[in-house]
Amino acid sequence: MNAATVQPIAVAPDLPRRTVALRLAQLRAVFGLSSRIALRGKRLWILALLGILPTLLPILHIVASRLSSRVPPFPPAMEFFKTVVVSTVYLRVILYILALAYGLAIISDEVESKTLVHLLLRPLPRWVIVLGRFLSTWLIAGLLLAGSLALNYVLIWAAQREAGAWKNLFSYANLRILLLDALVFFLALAAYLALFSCIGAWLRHGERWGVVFCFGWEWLIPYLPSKLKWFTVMYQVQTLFPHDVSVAKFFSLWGERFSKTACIAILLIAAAAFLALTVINLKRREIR
Amino acid sequence: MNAPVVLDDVAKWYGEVMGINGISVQLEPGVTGLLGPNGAGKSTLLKVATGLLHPNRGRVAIFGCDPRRDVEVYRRVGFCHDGDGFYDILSGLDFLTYSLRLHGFATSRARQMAREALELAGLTDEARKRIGAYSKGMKQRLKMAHALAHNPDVIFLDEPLGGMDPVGRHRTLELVRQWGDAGRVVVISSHILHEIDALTTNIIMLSHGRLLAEGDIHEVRDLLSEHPHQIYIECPNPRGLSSRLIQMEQVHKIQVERDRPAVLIETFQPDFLYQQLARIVAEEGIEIELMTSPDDNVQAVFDYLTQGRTEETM
Repeated sequence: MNAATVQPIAVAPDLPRRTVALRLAQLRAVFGLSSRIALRGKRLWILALLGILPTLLPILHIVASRLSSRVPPFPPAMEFFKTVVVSTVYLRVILYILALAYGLAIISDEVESKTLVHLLLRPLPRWVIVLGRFLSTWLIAGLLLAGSLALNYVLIWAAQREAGAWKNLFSYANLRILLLDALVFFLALAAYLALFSCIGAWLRHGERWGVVFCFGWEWLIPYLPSKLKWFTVMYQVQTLFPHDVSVAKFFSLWGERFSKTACIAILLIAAAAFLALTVINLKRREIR
Repeated sequence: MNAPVVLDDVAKWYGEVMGINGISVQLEPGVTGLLGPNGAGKSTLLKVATGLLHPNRGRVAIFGCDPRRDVEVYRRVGFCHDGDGFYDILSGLDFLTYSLRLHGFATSRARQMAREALELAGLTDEARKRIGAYSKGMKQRLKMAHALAHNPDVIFLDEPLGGMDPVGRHRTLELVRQWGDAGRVVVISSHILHEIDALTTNIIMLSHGRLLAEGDIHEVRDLLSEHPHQIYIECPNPRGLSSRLIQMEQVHKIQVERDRPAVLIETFQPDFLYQQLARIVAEEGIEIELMTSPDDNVQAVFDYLTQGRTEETM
């Protein structure tokens, strides 16, 4: 036995010495790799098209009103934005579809494409893999959602007929609502993405469970007069919006609401907990 | 148990199906051949050794660390596995650069190391090509580059020659030999005896998930002395060739194939017979189109050894 062959695992001389710096470098690499793959994948284009769909309504209205003067005026911009775009289209449909499509794929994409082995055979703590992929997915899905929301906002104002109405597009109060709404969606995405990454990692047919969760649990439970609603992401998210959204009106019937700070904390803790469960799955996972 | 790689009474089951059972080996610096027919448990053994599979029983240690618990051990381990999954949209160079960045190397350093690994694997010209456009042989070479890019001390290669062209095979075998000579632990699996025979005398033979033989390949060859070696020859005149060969006492059995112009020869002295065949071809002008030792011959060797062991224990 050559004694020189059994030696402690050493970090190569040209690698960062401090563990924190090393882990940050690895996290950046996982983030960069995941982002690059995601930005060149078909999923991005399909979901970008989905994000453009809600803009068809104001666009059609603009075109129709140019062609005919008998077309009724477009609803008031901010009311339409808050009640239809945010409360209905984005909160009840687009947020779920984005979170499902991206969240389930955080680990399962690597499994299905048989590329997970390339990550597992590197000196990467499993939490670095999960966190790097999560952050990349969160940023891409968040930017997609925010970009689509902003586009809708602009087009809704463009559809207004009143002279000078478009100037309100840049009013501080309206832009503040747009920004806060986007931030709430961003936070909601974190919780949903973490949850779906966990579902995708642990459960076979994760997409079925995800759909049941979104359009069953999250759609129905908040309307019921029980404390079960505390265990929905939607309940926390509704509280955070700077304006009333459709479901929140039901909450007021039962008179139960957490503070905004508590809701933010609950969403972040939930995201961290689901990511931790995903890390546990990755530690136990075998590559056959 | 101070060897760099130690497997101690390792077993792996897939439900009720046994992958490997009771495997205890110590892998020392140099090249070790892992031999066995398809389904013998070679890939399972390598995956257990590298931590991709969790053993149901036993212990795995690489430099004293359990790879399932201490990921830092992967700084010193490279594995060319049997999977075919790649990030197809990346180029070979980008793929290796990212892989090295995952170790923590800065981008410029990682790129330089990636280029060196690609050059070693003979992929310099294809470095910027999308992996999705690579041939099977090129992907196999990329996997080799991936396994060695970070300059590991322990290298596991699972059937690395599959799908490679002759030049790639020669290059790979040469690399393996060099790593072994440099004192690295290299484990290379194959179901083809002569591939390993050309590389090392140190082998591990698996059959049905169990350790069949371990040690010097010559000792295993002695076990095979009573087992005939098969040679398959395709030629325009198989009957003429067989009538010429049947006169030779080294030929144990000869069979003319019915459905194609070919003969299947069995011999106990393959080296001598190959010499004689070369002489016949040169001196008597007998034309030979193809000459090979059938792959299933290895299966037969293992069946023979397994049978021998069973009979011994009865």
